This record gives sequence, structure tokens and C-alpha cells, in this order.
Amino acid sequence: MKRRILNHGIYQIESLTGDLKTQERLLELGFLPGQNIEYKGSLAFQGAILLVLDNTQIALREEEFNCLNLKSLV
Amino acid sequence: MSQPKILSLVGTPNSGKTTLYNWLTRSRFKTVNYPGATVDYSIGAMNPILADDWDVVDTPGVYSLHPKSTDEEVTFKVIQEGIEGHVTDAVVIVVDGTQFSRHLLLAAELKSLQIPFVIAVTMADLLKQNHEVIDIDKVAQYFGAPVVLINGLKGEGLQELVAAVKSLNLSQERNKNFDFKNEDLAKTLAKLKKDTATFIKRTREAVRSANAIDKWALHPILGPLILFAIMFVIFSSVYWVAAPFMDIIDFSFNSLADFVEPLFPSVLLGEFLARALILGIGGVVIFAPQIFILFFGISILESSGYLARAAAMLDKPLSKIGLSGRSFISLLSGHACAIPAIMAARNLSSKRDRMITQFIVPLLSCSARLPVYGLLLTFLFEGEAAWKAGFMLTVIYFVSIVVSAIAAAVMNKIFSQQDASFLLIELPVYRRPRLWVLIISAWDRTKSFVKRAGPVIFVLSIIMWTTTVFPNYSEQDKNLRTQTSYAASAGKVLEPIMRPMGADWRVGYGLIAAFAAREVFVSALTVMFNITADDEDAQANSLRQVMHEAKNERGETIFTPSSCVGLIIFFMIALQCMSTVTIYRKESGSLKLTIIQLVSFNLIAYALAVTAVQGLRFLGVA
Repeated sequence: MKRRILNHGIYQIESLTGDLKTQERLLELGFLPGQNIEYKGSLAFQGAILLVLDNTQIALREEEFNCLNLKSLV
Repeated sequence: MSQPKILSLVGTPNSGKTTLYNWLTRSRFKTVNYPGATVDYSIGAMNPILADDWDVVDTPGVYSLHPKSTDEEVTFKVIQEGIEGHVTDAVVIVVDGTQFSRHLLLAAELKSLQIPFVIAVTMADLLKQNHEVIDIDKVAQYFGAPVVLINGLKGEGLQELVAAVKSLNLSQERNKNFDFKNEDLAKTLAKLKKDTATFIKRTREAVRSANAIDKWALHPILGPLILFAIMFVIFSSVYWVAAPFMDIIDFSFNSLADFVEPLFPSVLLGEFLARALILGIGGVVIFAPQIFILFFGISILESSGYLARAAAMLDKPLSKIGLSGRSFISLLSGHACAIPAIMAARNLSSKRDRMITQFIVPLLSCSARLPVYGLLLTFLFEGEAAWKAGFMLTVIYFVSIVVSAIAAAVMNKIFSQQDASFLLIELPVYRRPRLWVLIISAWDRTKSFVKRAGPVIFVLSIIMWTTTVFPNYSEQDKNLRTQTSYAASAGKVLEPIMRPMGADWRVGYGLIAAFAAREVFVSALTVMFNITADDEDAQANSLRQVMHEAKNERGETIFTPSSCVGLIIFFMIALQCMSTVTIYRKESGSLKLTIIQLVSFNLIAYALAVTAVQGLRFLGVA
């Protein structure tokens, strides 16, 4: 899977896509359409992606991150 | 006396549920498997000062009542069906105050089920510190349930919580028809978010302080280095801090055995009590300091909020072999001792991660293998530069990691249908760990080990003693008695199997004895080769000397470079430690998997050892 590279900054979640279980877990954690998130980049080993949602840092895998359709706000 | 009512604590991972549980039960509880699942939950009687007619259940962490893993199903069943035939009378939803607005889904879902519940908002101290205010009256009104603020550090709010639980209408009609599968989660959450938006006023202070630390702790290059340094301190402690305590335990049990043995007129009875019973118990207790220290260290990482960050950082490399970042504590612990490592895997929320991790941990080079490697490498590189043996030891550790990675990849294929893991991990704000919570957590794990593995190890040590003493029990010369024992006879029976490995029956006996504990292999060889030196260094020197000269019945040298390499390979892979087998059986909950692990590891170890010995000999290496 091709890695989605974004600039650090604020994004808005437009919709959720992909695996239903992952979508459900994303929703439970608060990744709702219309919600703003901050993209902070990858952790070590080009691994987990770090986001800030409602003042809370959340790390997620690339395939989990790819379930978020994002629109840049900055 | 009437049956105690059941109060279940339900909440997201890291919400402070277990800290609250420790306060409510005074940490007097038992950990049990949920029927039909290899998932633990804890149950304990509530502190009678708070209430004397309630049992409290600590369930695995969940985000909603839409179960996505076996652990989450257990929580769902505890709420819906109860435990051990008793319905859950009431629920306490534990909500992390610092994550308040995103953790209210459970409350909304329990409201739909019409199960009586109280909302306990934890981290009250952090809320105060960050000048955050939750309007608990508004929350209570919205959910139609009492809301209580809890300070987990000081145990504040417990009386209020119990009073709120007692005020619930436990006989209210429940809605058993509510089907979460038909729930539109996105709509429910959006409505919840909108409705509760004004319930909390928060600042960004807490997150800012976490961000400041995470600038270093999660740095792509410095982050792993900091993690390595932290783990180095913890694992050094498992070796070095535990060592004096292990020495004290060893000395105490040996002294007691020496004291007790001559007290009895019957030599055999005295020896049985001293060598089988007392030293058998000592053989269990001696692991306790390592287990306590390891879990104390893990608890510091967990309580401080760092563990989630470490798991996130290591997720990528571990995902290459089908594991998640959360497995790393177990895998690293396995280099000290497989027993606490297998127990540490209990914390993994994915069943697949747990199964794979527990299965492969015994392949990592634990500390008990060191004396064996030490003997064989010193023998192989005698008179040569010390770095050569050191380099080979590094190679052994590296190969053991590669072998475990291969095993994990194979297991990943086999268990691919089991619940796949998510990373999706919240990084909690950093907190100062509370000493008593750390001690209780480490003590609980240590007790659990002694209770689970103790009886089996104890029985095995009695069997080992009996088979090394009988039938020639009246023989005064103990070495001669051992050489004519049932265990030695078994070694002789194994000789045809040992021969392709370049070994004879005495080595076979050593391998049998190593099933009690791997390091026993060295002392078993000492007995079999009739070494009589008093101290360990003299024994090791004498043993190496004897090993040079030892020949089998056909007059061939036993310990050659090829046979030593064969033995090293055998020890790297073979599953000999009965304590590990016992703990794996208990933790995995599967006799089938235990047998598969035991048989496959030993067969593969044997096959590879024979291949190495015969291959080296074919290439002209003696």
C-alpha cells in the first residue's frame, strides 16, 4: 500500500472508508465526520501515525489512518 | 447469608478502572478465566467499610458495547449475562475525566439497555490541576444516572460512589431487545458530542505538558534510544537487583535443608524432607524476586503513561512478524525469564497477539540458558581470546531472535482468523505513578505465579529427586547412587537417540535433568562425570578437563566442536523448562497448544542439532 504523506497541520475528517471494524473503532475513539484533527507525522521506523484529536494524542497504523478521508484546513 | 450483589466496573483502557477496583476491594481479589474464553477478569469482595454485600468485577477495557475482540466480548457478556450464574446488578462506568467528552458512548449504550449504572469520573486530581470543570449535575441529568468524581491517587470519592450505587433502583426492568448491530454509531456519537459539548470546560495545559515530553519521547530517532535506555534499566534490574534477593532465598532454603536433613533418624526421610520438599519449595520461590521486579518496572511504565507510547513506537517492526507493539514487553522479558514474559502477555488485548507472543517467548534466550552456553562456549574457545566466546554468545542471542521471528510468522499464518489487532491507541497524559499501586500490582503477579506454577514445579522436583535416588537409595556414595538411579537408566535408554547428536547417556541424563531447570544441566554433568570439587569454579574447571577426556563406550570423544554446537542449538530451541510449560498451559488455557509447543520445539531442536552435528562432521569438523 502506498504511504499517504501529509504536511503537519490541521485537517478535517470528511468521511470514513474501508474496513467496517476499523471504521467502528475510529468512530468510538471520536473520529467523526466533520471533526478537526492535527496531523503530527510518523513515529520511529516510519511506523504509527500520530494525530491529535480533541486535545488527545492518538497513534494509529497506516491502514487505520487510510480509513480517514481528510481535507486540509491550513 | 444472602448472595452478594455484583457490581461490574466497565471503562475504556487506561481509564483508571483497575486503580478504582483496587481501592474498592482493598486489592483482595482473585483473577479468573471467563468460561469459554482465555480472558481474565478479576472479582473481589468490596471493602466491608464501604459495603458488605457487594462483589466487584474488573472487566477488560472497552470503548463501546460493539465487541471487536474476545476481551471485549467478555465485558459485554459480564454486563448482559452476568458471571457464574449471577446477573450483574449494577455497573460503574469509569470515565477518564481528561478524555471526558469522547468516553461517554458506554454511558449512552448502558442507558439504552436500562441497566442501573453510576458514572465514576476518574483523574479528578488532574482535572483540578488543569483547571477543568465537569458539570456533573448536567451529566447526571442527561444520562439519568449518578455521577461521582474519583481521585485515584488518594482514594477520594469512594464513599460517595458506593452511596450512589446503593441508591440505584436495581429491580428496574431491563431492555434485553436493544440490538447494537442496528445502531447507527456515527449518528449516536454525533448526537452525544453535540448534547454534551457544554458539560466540560477544559484548557490545553495537560496536553501541552505531554507534548513537551513527547517531543523527545516520541522523536523518530531519540524516541527508540530513550526506550532502549529505559528497558535496559528495567532488565538490568531484573538481573542485578533480583540477584541478591535470589541469593538470600537460595541460601535460606539451602541452610534450612542442611539444618533439617540430619534431624531425622532415617537418612532417606531427612534427605527427602530437605532435598525434595524444602528445596522443591525453594525452586519455586527463587523466581519471585525477578517476577516482582519485572512487573514493578512494567507497572511504572503503565501507570506513567509511557507504555502506550512504547507500544506505538514498536508497532511497525513487530507488525512485520504479525505482532503488535504491545507485545514488546513480553518479548523483551523473555530474555530474562519466560515465565513472567508469558504472564505479561495477559495484558495484550488481541487474542491473536497474546497466543503468538506466549507461544514464541520460550524460544528467546532466557537467563537459565546462560550457564549452559557459558560452559560450552568456554570449552569450545578454551585458551583463545575472550572476545570469540563473547561474539558467539551474541550470535546465539541474535539467532534466537531470528528463530522466534520465524516462529511468530508461522503462527501468524495459523492464527490469521483470530481477532486481528488494532493499534489505534490513545496516548494518555503523563502521570506520576503511585508507589503502593506499583507494589500491589507487582505483588499480585508474583502471588499469581507462585499459586499457578508452584504446585506443579513442586511435584516435578519431588519426581526428579525420587528418580535420582532410587533404586540404589542405600548407597553412601551419592555420585555412584545417582549414576545407578532410574534417571541415569532413562539416560541410557535415550543413548540411541543421543548418539546422532554426538552425545552419550550421561549427556542424555543431563538433558533429562534440565527439564527441572535448564541450568541444572551443568550440575547434572558434574554428577555424571563424578566431579568432586567443592566450589563452583573448581567444579567448572574440573568439568571442562573431564569433558576434554570423556569418551563414549566405543572410545570416541564425546565433547567435540560439532557435538558442542549441536548441544547449543538444542538448548536454543528445546522447551525443557517445566515451569514454563506449566505457566504456558495455565495462561494459554489450551492443553493442545501446550503439547504442540512442547513436542514441536523439542523435535525441531533435536532435528536441527543432529543436522548440525552430522553436517559439521561431513565437512570434516570433529
